[in-house]
Amino acid sequence: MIFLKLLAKLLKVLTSGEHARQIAGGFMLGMMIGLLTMKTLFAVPIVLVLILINVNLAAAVVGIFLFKLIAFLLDPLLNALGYWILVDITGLKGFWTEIASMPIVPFTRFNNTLVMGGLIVALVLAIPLFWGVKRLVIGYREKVQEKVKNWKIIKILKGTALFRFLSGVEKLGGR
Amino acid sequence: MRKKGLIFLIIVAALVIALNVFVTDRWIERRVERLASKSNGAKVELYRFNFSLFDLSLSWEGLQVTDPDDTWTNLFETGRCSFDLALEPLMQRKVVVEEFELQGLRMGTARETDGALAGKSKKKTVGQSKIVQSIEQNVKTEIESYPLLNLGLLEGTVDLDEIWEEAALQSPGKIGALKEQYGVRYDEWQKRVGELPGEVEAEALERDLEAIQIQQIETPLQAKEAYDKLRLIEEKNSDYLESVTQMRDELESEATDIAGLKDKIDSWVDEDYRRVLAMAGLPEFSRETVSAMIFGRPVAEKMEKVLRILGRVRNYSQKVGKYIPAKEFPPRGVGQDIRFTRKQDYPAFWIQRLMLSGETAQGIGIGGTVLHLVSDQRKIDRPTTMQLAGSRADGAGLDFAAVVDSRDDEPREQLELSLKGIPLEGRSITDFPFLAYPLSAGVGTVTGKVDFKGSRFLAEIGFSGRDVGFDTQGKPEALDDDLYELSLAMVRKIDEIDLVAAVRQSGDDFKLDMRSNLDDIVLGVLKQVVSDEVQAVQNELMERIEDEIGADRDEVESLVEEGEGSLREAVEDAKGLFISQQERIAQKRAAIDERVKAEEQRVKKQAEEELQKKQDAVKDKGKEALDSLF
Repeated sequence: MIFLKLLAKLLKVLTSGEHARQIAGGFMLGMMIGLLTMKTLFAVPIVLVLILINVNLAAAVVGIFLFKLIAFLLDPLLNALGYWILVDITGLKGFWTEIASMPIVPFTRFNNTLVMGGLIVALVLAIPLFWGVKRLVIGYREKVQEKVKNWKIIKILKGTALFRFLSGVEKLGGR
Repeated sequence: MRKKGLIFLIIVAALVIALNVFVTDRWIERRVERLASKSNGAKVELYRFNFSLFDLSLSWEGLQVTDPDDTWTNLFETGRCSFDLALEPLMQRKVVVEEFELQGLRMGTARETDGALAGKSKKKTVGQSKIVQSIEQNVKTEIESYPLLNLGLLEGTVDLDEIWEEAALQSPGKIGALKEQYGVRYDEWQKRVGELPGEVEAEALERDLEAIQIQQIETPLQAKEAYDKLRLIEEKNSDYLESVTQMRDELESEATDIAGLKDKIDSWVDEDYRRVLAMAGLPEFSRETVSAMIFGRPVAEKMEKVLRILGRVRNYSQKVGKYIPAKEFPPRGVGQDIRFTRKQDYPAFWIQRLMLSGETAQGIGIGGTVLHLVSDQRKIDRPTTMQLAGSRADGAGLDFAAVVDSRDDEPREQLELSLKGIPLEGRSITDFPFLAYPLSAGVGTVTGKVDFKGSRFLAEIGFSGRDVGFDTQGKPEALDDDLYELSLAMVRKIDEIDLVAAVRQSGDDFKLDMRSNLDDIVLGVLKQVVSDEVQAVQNELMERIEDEIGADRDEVESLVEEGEGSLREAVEDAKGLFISQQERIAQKRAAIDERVKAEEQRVKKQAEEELQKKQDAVKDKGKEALDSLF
């Protein structure tokens, strides 16, 4: 069921009339929100950007869903990465101490191993993911879209309530 | 920019503000309650909590903190409190309160509902410090070893066979284990001694030594070869001798250890003897045992309470003192928080001055100040101090001072308590059968002092009672008529009570001392009545113990003697072999030296003769040449 939902979301996003960069941007921001726990202040500016600029919200939903799952599966690795950056790299201790004493910054919970691990992975992935998704969408529209439209499963999915809901989400994007 | 997105954000912001006004207080209240309950180990409840975001003030109408050891009682509860949070530290996620006034504090109040936490949360409470646990265990063990007086002894109805049946001696088991342990050690030693170089190696050296043919040394090269061979043999012999000598030294030190076995067995037997006497209520009557019999348990109970509190304080201060966090494996989605703070930064939590007033469970009105209630003292470089004083209408008064200093690696807690003018009427001072009467009159003073630095612990408890009288109307059930008379004779002599108890622990050394002015009074009467009988029973029990373990003890001793003797002999034999080999090497070296010297002289003489011959030949030739010229 989860797989079908994800597939429906993905297809809806890919077949929408938006620019590939808007889809890639939405997916990238969704990835960042997905990797960062919502209990950090880092998530707030990302959500604001997501709401205020013209990116594809459905792509963001797919990104959030997908990367929440990935973050859950990779939790121990993100934790270990965060611990390594916060504790094992002793040269950075002064920097962390400095920013921990600044106003507001502690509310980002940057000192949490999971937040830090997620943040680093999100920052590292951001540009390659944006570029990769953009290329993928363009490639899909040029070469695969027509074939996929004729798949039986796609026809079934188009009739589902979820598909209609996602269409609504797209309209919220202002296009 | 999306217009719809902007509108959406404005709606969300309006909702947040509305929620802040209507819902935040309850949300924060629940969160504070949950966190505080988790750290207390039992429910902490706030009533009518109010948080104002605009002037950063907090207040509540009531607070109840459940006693984790008795969840139907509150450690304390308070009335209305309000205080302001400092803004600058709050921006850094730190809670700093300059002045906090806690009124209507009441301790030990009964709860209307159970304050226990459900299942899992209870396990996450602040535990005990290991040092405190060890002191607590020592106090407990010490108290358990205190004898209870066997009244049957005084009534002449002691059944020795019954006591013996329940005795369950521990020394036979320990001696058996020791025997096995020694057997294993002896086998190991035998194996090691068997691996020592011995006759085979000595014979090989001997052969090598004989292979050096002194008579065949004629040239310096041959002499050098002989010396080299000899040096190699000597080095090998030295190695053998060294390993044998080392083994002998180790065996000596092992022998010293083993010699301690006898003392060990003696101390086990002594422990058994004392345990049996204590179990049977047949103490050796001395001032120490009598004092322990009278006041041991009440003092230990008080000490246990103090230690429980100290344990929590110590454990907490040790936890916050750690800077580099150990790697944890938190549940998925939680992560681990790493602390980064500068020394001069604000601590995470700091109440600079807490003024409190209220009432203790005993109805004494108290008031005082706590300074620097802080999550990390090193950040403010000041200890936490507490000063309390109070009094009651009947004249009872209380003074309490505490200093908790965890700035150094070696934390220190100091407490001083003084309770004066306590009416003693209706109270009991001991469960010792001869003095277990309620008091009919008297005024008491309790003093307590604790100094706990690092792992060194010192606690002194004092109690004094003046103008004391006993209500002896009701005869205690445990005493027959004769013993009742005896106990009346005792209490008639008592109008003052002075008790001093001290607990000391430094490293592994633990000591609990108790002295009171009642010791001599009780001791005198007990000795007078039961001394001979106790002595006879004690002697009989000691004989039975000796009969029980005598054979085992002899067996261990003879095992040790034989085993040690055979090992020593083997090592000494091996040593003798290589020492005699050493002598032979020295003899060989002397023989080679002699041969070399003789050869040197022979060669020298030969060279001189050759030279002489050549000189003579030159002379002759010179003479012939001169003759032919002239």
